[in-house]
Amino acid sequence: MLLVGRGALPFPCCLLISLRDLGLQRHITYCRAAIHPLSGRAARRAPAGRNTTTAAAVAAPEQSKHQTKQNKGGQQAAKTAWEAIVGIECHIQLNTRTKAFCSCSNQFGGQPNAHVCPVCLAHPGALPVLNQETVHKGMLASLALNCSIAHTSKFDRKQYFYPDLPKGYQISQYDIPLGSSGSLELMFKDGTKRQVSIERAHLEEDAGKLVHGGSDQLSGSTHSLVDYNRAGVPLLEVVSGPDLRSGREAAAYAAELHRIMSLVGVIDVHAQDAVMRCDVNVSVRKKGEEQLRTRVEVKNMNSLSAIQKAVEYEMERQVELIESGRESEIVQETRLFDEDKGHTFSMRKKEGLADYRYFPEPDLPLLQIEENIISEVKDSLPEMPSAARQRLLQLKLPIADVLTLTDDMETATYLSAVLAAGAPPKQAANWVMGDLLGYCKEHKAHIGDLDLTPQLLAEMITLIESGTISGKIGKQILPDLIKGKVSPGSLEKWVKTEGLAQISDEATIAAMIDEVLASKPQELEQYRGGKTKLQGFFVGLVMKESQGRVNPAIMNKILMQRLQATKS
Amino acid sequence: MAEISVTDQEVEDWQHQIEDIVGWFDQLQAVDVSGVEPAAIADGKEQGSLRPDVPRAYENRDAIMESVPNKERSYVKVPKIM
Repeated sequence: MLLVGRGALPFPCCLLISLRDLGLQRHITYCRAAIHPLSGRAARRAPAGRNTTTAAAVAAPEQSKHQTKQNKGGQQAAKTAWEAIVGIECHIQLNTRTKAFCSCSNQFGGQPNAHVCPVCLAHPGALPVLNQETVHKGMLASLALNCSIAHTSKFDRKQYFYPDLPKGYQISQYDIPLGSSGSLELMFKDGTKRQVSIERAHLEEDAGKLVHGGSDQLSGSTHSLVDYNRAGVPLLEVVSGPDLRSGREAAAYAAELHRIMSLVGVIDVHAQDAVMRCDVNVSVRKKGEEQLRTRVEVKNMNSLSAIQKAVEYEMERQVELIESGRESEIVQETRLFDEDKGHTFSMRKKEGLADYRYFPEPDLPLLQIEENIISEVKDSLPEMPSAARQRLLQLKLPIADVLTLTDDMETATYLSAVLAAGAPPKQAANWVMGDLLGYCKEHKAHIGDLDLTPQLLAEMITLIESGTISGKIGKQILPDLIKGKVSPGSLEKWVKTEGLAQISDEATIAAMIDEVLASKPQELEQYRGGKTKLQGFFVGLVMKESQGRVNPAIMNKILMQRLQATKS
Repeated sequence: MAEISVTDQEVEDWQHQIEDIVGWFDQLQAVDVSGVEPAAIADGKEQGSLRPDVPRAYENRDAIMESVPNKERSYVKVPKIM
């Protein structure tokens, strides 16, 4: 039904997930083909005469009142009375070594048309053979999304005519997807959660990449150039239910999907290219209404924040049309998001499902998967972000910390290992979120790659907790630990050898304090005269004297005693 | 779809042939298939073997690219889109 019809075309100039929004330094830039908003397949299937509005739309974007900040009160009112109904289709590029149906390398970069063969170029008589890793990764991703795996599924041909598609059809899965009926859980900063249904997850192949020659501007191109390296690369298309209610939720969904796909290792997180391309379907309704109105598909979002803005813009546009009695102007169509202008514009009217003339792919046998294989893959799954969040919340960590720690699951995994090695949760979380993530950000490193193992960090935290070293010394030696100067299990011995152990012996501390006070009679006089702020001055001197090693609590106690005694 | 030009003679010849083909489907339609499960695929019983994920460059790539009628650098050159 709508599932596939919602526009399953792989779309080179759609997403991209930039994790900048998430505060992660590692982000995947995208824009595979998008030299210009219409230079990729955004323009596809829009032969001359059929889509004459597109160029005009670029030149003269629809006038809209939404672009101004005026009428804010009205917008607020609209926002409270209306809600968006959003579903997202995401094309996930699986990081197999070879293409889906031939042994050509699935690798980006390199010379155009370096990775091609008779199968992916559709030479007569060449037959596809399914890559087992495509199935395996598709299953991993589907199971991570709580989908059921079809024991028997099949491939179908989706026909359309475009030069980036050598066969004239895309091998996809139509009525029996590999995965179906899954779900994914979102959590927001206020602690609220939302379950998002996953309608289906199906395997398909990507198309080639079009480059427009003759000019950087599409309008000035005299011809187009095609690179088929990407033709036949495996994709998993994940279709959510219409369960998202705002731009914020839509962006959170895309972020969570990317998080899960990174975690199970089916995407290349270091890719320069877009590994996820998302399209959103948006309609609006008054809160409390059951009936759904006409929905619009929006493509071409380059980041999570763009997804959010596109949904918010589209929501306002539709609400305004409905409220001004022009609901008939909301038509089922594909619109593109212009990030610079912050609005969407019509690209083409949506093709009907019948236009694709789906039929079973006769060149591929049924895909049959035994139950024991499914169980095996399921058992191999790591802890999902939702479970990790739940577990960390139960340790009484604040929601904001939990979201930070599970933003990149590599961090959550690291923290879990620190906890397993015996460190108390709050302290462990603080060291990981503060010093370690700060270091990683500064040095563009991954926490999992640090020489400072979770065990060693736990040892250090334990030494601080037991009073063997001070927190200050902890911060001081951290760079050495990160550089791998100390091996796990030997930290306590090392700090003692290095003379870094905390001084907690009262007599020793008292002697140091007496020495400091004796060396500063003038300041002592001033303190005695009422300038009690000088306490900090003495604390600093004792700390300096001891190279930060004295136990601050004991030192403060004795210092106060001495100062008071001197005063009286 | 592709543009196809045909001559009047071809129209006359093919008209009968196409009618024959459509007529053949009528015969198929007449077969009673009640109780027969729809077959998604002709040899639906067969389980195909999957291919190991090992890259192998196609040895005759140069010949393939030589057969491309229009090229620019190593791209395939096609008429302007839109």
